[in-house]
Amino acid sequence: MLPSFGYLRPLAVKDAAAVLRDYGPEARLLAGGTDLLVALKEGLASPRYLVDIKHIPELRAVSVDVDGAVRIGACVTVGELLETGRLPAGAEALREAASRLGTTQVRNRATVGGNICNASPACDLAPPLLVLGAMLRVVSADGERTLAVRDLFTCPKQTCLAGDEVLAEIVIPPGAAAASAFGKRQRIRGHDLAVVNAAAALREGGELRVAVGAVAPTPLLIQGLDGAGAGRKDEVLRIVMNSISPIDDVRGSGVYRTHMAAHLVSGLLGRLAQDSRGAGAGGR
Amino acid sequence: MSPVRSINLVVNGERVAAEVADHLTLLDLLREVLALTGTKEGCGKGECGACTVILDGRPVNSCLVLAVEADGGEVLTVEGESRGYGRRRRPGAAGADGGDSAVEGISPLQQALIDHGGFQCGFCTAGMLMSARALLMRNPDPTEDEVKEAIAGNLCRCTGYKPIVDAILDAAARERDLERPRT
Repeated sequence: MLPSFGYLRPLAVKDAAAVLRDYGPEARLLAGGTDLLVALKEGLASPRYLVDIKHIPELRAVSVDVDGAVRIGACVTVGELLETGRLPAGAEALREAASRLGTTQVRNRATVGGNICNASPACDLAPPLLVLGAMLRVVSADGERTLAVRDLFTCPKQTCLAGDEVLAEIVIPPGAAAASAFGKRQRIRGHDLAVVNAAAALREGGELRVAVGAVAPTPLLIQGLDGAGAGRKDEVLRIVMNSISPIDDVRGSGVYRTHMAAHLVSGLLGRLAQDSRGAGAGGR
Repeated sequence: MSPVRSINLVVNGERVAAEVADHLTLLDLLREVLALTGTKEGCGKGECGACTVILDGRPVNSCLVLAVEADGGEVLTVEGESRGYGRRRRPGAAGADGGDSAVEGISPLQQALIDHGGFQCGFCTAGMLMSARALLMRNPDPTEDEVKEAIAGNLCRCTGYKPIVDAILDAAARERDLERPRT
């Protein structure tokens, strides 16, 4: 049984933001509900109102701008993200992460915005969005702003969003990556949070980006890789290993996570190197 | 106290109107209000899949859907499976099963589960059937890996999964066979 609450269904983002402004912490946004309703059942949240934002059309669309930027509405489900033909070829990491998130049933409800705004350090969509340099369009009752996804996460399960802000869109910039890949270590095949997850992307000029999840209080975009391309694997791994600080928890020990992070990132670098060799030889 | 509101939806092909509290889950709507107790509550947290139903063509954990969110939607439960909802029919077929099941009034998927020993306590079975039905609705010729992926969100403590996977593959073949025009 869920605790009691009132259900609100605004039809515009500004209206949703106004509700948040007016009711403050008594109102919570309801997207897919796969995190929020569990939290309600476990007594971790007891809002007076749930604000269902799934009936706001601009939050449900995936569109491509003339310059090639891909706009993903915050309430696009993970399943819909898998089915859209509009993700750029270099965003394979995002598609792979979506395919590994939860289960079929969860993916039919969980949303792109909800996954990152729930801000679990292990959330599967964060590493690919980080390496793709995604930007977030956030709307409040009297304005809007844009921020980089790497600025979203502040500490476990917390974002930088103000109480009256609604994430509206996740934008993949044009030319975000020539190639990318995702990896996730789970304990079981099926529904499991990541023990470690990671993504890597190669930009057109050869710049490498790596992000690792479940190894720090937030999903981590690895800093200090400048210049180290995918080919300098040992140096990249050294930088990654110096950046992470995994803890022991129910899903794995810090030591295991450290080893798995190295293993995953090494595998991703290998796949990217192979992709670029294949492309060079006319393979793709 | 939650407000109460009217909702309208289609459940197993029939229009349903109900007055529900905002915090009522779709699972509780089905079981407690509509007396469709085939769908089970396992974990209540979207991890076991026992509560799987097909909402607007997609399998979901009904324990994590509010009844009010299903307003205007279409739901298929295991009770509808035996009536043939979600299946394509051979032209002219009379019963839900196209007339080819040993037990009248169940689908080839349900029959295959019986034939392969695909359930013991039966608690996961409704959810398994709905995940399988949702798969076959989109992909009538799945590979073994696709079947496993489709039921990855449905936990079973009894069977070890193999008989369920075998049953779904067999049922897919039977249903493809049923849909072929007879000459």
